Amino acid sequence: MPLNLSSYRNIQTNLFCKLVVPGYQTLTFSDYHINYTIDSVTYQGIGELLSVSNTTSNLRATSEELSVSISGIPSGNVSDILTKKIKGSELQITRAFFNAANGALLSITGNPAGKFKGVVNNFNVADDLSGSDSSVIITVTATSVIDQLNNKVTGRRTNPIDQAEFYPGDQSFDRVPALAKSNFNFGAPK
Amino acid sequence: MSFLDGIKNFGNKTRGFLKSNRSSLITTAALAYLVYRLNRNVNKGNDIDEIPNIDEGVRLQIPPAADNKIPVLYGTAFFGGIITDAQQSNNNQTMTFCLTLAETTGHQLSDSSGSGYTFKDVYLNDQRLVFKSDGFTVDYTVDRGGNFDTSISGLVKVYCYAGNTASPSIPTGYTNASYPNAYTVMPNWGSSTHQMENLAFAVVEVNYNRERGITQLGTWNFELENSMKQPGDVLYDYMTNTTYGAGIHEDDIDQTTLTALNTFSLTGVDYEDQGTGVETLADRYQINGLLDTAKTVMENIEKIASSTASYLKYDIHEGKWGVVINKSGSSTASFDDSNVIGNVNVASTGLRDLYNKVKVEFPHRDIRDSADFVTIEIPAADRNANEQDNTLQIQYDTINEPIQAQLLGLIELKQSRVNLVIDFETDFTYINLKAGDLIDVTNSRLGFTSKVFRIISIQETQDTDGALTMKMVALEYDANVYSEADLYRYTRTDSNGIITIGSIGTPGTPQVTKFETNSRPRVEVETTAPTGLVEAIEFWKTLDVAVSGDENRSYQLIATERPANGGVYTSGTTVTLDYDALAEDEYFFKVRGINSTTTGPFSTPSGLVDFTPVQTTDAIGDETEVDGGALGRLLGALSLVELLLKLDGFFSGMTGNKSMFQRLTDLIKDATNGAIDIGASDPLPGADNNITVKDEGTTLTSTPAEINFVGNAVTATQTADAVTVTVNTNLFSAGGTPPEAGDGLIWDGSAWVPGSTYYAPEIVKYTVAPVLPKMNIVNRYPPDRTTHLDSTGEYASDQAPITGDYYVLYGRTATDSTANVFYGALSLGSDKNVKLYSSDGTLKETLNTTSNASDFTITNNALSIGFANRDLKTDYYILMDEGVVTYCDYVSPAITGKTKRYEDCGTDYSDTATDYDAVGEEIGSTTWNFNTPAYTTSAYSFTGTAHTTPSTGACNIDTFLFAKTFTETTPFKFYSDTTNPPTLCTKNKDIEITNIGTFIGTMNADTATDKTFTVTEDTGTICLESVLILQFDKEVTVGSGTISIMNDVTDLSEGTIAASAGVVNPLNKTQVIYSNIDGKALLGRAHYIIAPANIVFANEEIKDCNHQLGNNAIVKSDNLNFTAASMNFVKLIVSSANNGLTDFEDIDTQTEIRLQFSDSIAFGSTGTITIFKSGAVTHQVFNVAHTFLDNQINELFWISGNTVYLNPTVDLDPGSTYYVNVSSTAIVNPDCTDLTFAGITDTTTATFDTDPGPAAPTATITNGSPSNTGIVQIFDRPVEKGSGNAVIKDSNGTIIHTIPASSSAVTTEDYE
Repeated sequence: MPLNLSSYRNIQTNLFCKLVVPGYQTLTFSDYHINYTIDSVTYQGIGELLSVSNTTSNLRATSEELSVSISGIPSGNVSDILTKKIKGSELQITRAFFNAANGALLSITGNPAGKFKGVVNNFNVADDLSGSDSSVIITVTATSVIDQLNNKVTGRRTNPIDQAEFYPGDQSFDRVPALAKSNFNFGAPK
Repeated sequence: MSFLDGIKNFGNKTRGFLKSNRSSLITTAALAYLVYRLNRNVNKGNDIDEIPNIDEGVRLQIPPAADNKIPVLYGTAFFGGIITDAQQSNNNQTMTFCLTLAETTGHQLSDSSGSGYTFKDVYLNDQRLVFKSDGFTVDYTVDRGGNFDTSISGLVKVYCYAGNTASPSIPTGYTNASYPNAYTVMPNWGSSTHQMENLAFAVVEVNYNRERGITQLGTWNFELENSMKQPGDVLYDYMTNTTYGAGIHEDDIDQTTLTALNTFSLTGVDYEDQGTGVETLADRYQINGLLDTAKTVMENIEKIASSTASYLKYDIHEGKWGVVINKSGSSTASFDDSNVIGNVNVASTGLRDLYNKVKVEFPHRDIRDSADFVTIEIPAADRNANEQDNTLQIQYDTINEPIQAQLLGLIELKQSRVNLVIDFETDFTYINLKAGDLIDVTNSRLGFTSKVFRIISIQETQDTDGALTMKMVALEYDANVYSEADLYRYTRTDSNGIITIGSIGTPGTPQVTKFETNSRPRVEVETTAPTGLVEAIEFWKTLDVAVSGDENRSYQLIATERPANGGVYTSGTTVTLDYDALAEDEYFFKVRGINSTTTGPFSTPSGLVDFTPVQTTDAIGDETEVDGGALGRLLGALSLVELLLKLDGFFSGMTGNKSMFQRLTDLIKDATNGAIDIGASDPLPGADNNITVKDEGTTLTSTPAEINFVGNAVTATQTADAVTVTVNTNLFSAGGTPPEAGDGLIWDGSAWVPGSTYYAPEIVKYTVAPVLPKMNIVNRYPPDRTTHLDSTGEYASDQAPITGDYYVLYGRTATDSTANVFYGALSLGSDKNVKLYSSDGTLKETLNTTSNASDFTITNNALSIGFANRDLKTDYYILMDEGVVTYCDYVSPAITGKTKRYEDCGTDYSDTATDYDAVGEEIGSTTWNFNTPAYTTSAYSFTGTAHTTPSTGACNIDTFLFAKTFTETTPFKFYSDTTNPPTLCTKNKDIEITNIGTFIGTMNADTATDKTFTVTEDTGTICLESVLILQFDKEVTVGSGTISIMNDVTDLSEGTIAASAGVVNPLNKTQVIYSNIDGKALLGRAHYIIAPANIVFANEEIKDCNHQLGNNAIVKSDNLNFTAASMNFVKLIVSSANNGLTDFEDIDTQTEIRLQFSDSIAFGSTGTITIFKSGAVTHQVFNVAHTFLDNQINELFWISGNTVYLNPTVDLDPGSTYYVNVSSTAIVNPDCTDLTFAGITDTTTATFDTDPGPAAPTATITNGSPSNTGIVQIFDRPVEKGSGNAVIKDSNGTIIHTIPASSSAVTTEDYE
């Protein structure tokens, strides 16, 4: 959906992250200063504690990596990250545009707009001892699905295992392993 | 609770460690990397670092192996399969095996229809299989040379399937409702245990036969077509399929872009085909080939996209896959200094990395998908200095059309050289731009003015302050990258040198002729061979006449016709099938062209053929009567000749005496190389001496002792026992006189000397523009061979008498129905020759109208020519000079035979070849060719037709006109370019005719077809050089008398013109053009024209010296009035305000001076206009040669209509007398170039006086005090202080005070 901001001299923009951690929960947070609801999903406003790296849209499908960094997480919560299956979680980031004067969501077509969709590839936890309270910085690294396709090989091999995987009970390729080592006396008198 | 809980004080923990901090050097380096990535192509050989799983050059079958992967077929491809099962019969004599070919694909995005599979051809050991009617049993094979081999007939069976084991896919061209399911032909297979779901495969049965060379399974190839070939459909199928594809959910695919790709791929591309000229590739992009499922899905997707010059894109914002088509477009956003933030950087590809040549490898469909390549190189002039060869290697697996390969290669090569990359940053308002969009950039420092780029990446950047900017990287765009010019499709040859065909045209719709009631009931199916290399035409029939739609009918191949002498059919050749294996029924027929590698499209079906055979034994037997009417005529002379020819051929080469039967057996024995030998015995009793000789069906004898060939047409010669009968084939033309006894059946043309050599050398072949009117030749006796008969049909050209005179009957073409009439006697011309030649060019006799006048007789319109007696059986021709006979100013036309004239741009025509025309045009087709027969015929005697009495009548003047300009507009041809290559063009001449009378004299007065001209009529001004043209109410010829130009005031003649000096306008024969009126009329004076009767004669009946209809006299009341041009000075106008004042006193010293004349005027080429001050003092000279050439005006003096305007640049002196002089050549009449103003040389014609200036009035003061009142002088116009003094005098005249004009005591002010 085209997003036309040409008539705005200034805007406020914020990012809204949705991290679906299998077996845990769906985490929603944003760099907005208060909690904000978009499409019935409430995103926890963590303001400047959230930092998202830049994204690039390319003409050719190119693997893209994005980092989401969250600061100020209490040290006591770190174990949750380490024990849950963060890797492989789906990460979706949305960018919303607000009126810089009053913080209201701009009522224009295409707002909010998608910024990134991908899968968490890895994460990093680092201590942050700069403040009075002990906290950690969590950095989640996500890649677009392009990477997955770059390594994906599909198709059917001519063996009974593959055939059974796709069409259980079909024996059409059952004799292939045996045939590979067979010799026929074609035309030999019997 | 999540690990996010408990976050607090975030305002103090801002982190910016992810912010980019790259230097500009790094940025530039990254640009080059981006270009590399953009140009990266999975098909580019330069980038390929591994060996592909499928060898596209040799897609052969693969032996069984558990790790073989089944490929995916899109479009059409030639390839082998993977053996996945094999069973041998118990006696080892039969091997049955399964060849798994490809995965079957899903539904098409474009129309939601399922994929359709067609087995187009099957090849065994590189030989195409032709099946029996069941569609699976091999009947014979055809190799690339078109040779048939039936050795494996019945021993090999191929069953084809697509989808599963219960889905037979019968090869194209065959129908079989009982085609077996695969599990019934493959041993040990069951319907539920062996389903082969979603697979295309074949089951092959091979029966061992050593004698026929079947001892191995052989190498198998299949031409298999999947209807899914549109790139968008293919991408969608492969991206969504979970078995062999990427398994992407359809919601994650931008289907709009794939649909757009389909639409663009369906647009046509024009190209030039080596064999057939300009053609159009209907679909510019198709996918035709196999995808190797051993490769990553990303690689395969990019392979498909690259095969359509598209980029696979992934929108990270939306998480959707799509394509960007690399095609021409227009800018969607503009950037300049107003919306660019920061620097604008530009980079490009290094010299060493620039490609200047591309080699595209692909499987070529014309050579069964064998590997082929095209190479394209940029012109040397487009290279940079010191640029070394660098070839871009591209390999496409999924296209097999060379035009598509060329198009892709061109785009890749040109795109690689359009490599300027720009990057800059802009604000958030452009967040809607996407990679692939076109933008334009204007930047004065870089010299860009709306230069177009294509975005290759956009980076959304947000700094710590929250500022959102877009950093764009864009690649130079050039619409020429997508040019479709210069595409060329070569006809490819395979390794055996056999020409393969990319395209066979559609044959003509079959025309069926029925022979239902016949000893052999049959049909003849006739078609015309299509374009392309057509080695054979296949004929197909169907009984499905009740089925609607031809595509739904099942046809059966009934015959294949090949050229009699091998090779290929020439396009348009009629090919006929004689077919008698038809039962009583209704049929449609259709045909198609084939060759060893491909088949062409079917023709349109024939019309419905309702065939009811009725066999009639011996339909033509001994008792069959011959129709004596039409048939008798049919078996006329031509048939007899044909029979003789056949007999000649039949007995040709025979030695010894043999009966027809024996001769027949010899021929059969020779033709079969001895395979059929009936023996020398003659089973027909008495056959050797029972030949019946008939004359057109009438028996002459059944016991001939000899056959004697007679007549000029037949010559029999004998050498040893061989008798050769030669029949001359120069037949009579249709309608010829039936031969008489003793006459030659066929004209003996052996001595004929054709072409130009039969001209007598002294004959003038061509003369330029003959002007004398010609008579017609009504008849010649003997008649000319061209028409064979005279107009009465009584006399023939091949029956010329050898005694007596030959005759020519003349006539004239009149303007009405009375054609070919004379109103008086004809006369014999002077010193004209008539020559008789034999056809070999030998001059037999010359008769001259002067020296041999007695041999000529003119009776009425008949000229008799008394040649000496001629010879029998001889070909003659006669040539005659023009003017052998005359009548008034008419002359008889020449008989020259055929000759040539040659176009010449300089002199119009020549009788020899010219540089402009080496071929020439045959003209002078009047011929008089004939021959004397073998017998004598009666001498001619003609007296012609007596002349007739003319009618009476007159003509009248219609109007008159004058013209000074006549322009020749004759079309002529010229070469626009004499070097490369010369082009002959035609345009009209545009040459002014200096003497119209002389010019008309060179025209053909009768037809006026050789030249043409236009008349520019004088309108308004009649000049003395104007030519008088009188126009009458009928077409006329010139008469005699005097035309007078009368003074309208005095009614006296000012001059005369002789009527005989006029010439009739050939283009409008009602007009007579006379001379000009110079010296015959007075300038500026009104005149009228009068003339007596008979200055012209009407052509209403016919132009004839014996019949003249003169005009009625032209009198004053006919109002042929005109006034000759004048050139008189009218008046002088002087005015400073251009208000037309004519007061010649007190003229302002800055006045404009006008000289008004009686007519329109123009400046001459030389001369002056001078303003003199009295005393012959030159004030200013105006030189007319110094005016501007285009409009002859300048700012000092000019002409408007009939007035000269002078604008002196030097003020006139006040209080002076001036006059204007004009030299004799300075002023001319613009219409009459010979009419010039005589000039003004005196001091009084144009004179005026200038204003003397303000006079200083005298003021008188009486008893006043100057100091109180001052002295006021009131002038007649506003004044300024000048020089000099004012003086005050007393009554005595004594100066008592002097006041300088410059004194401050002197002031001026307005006075009201």
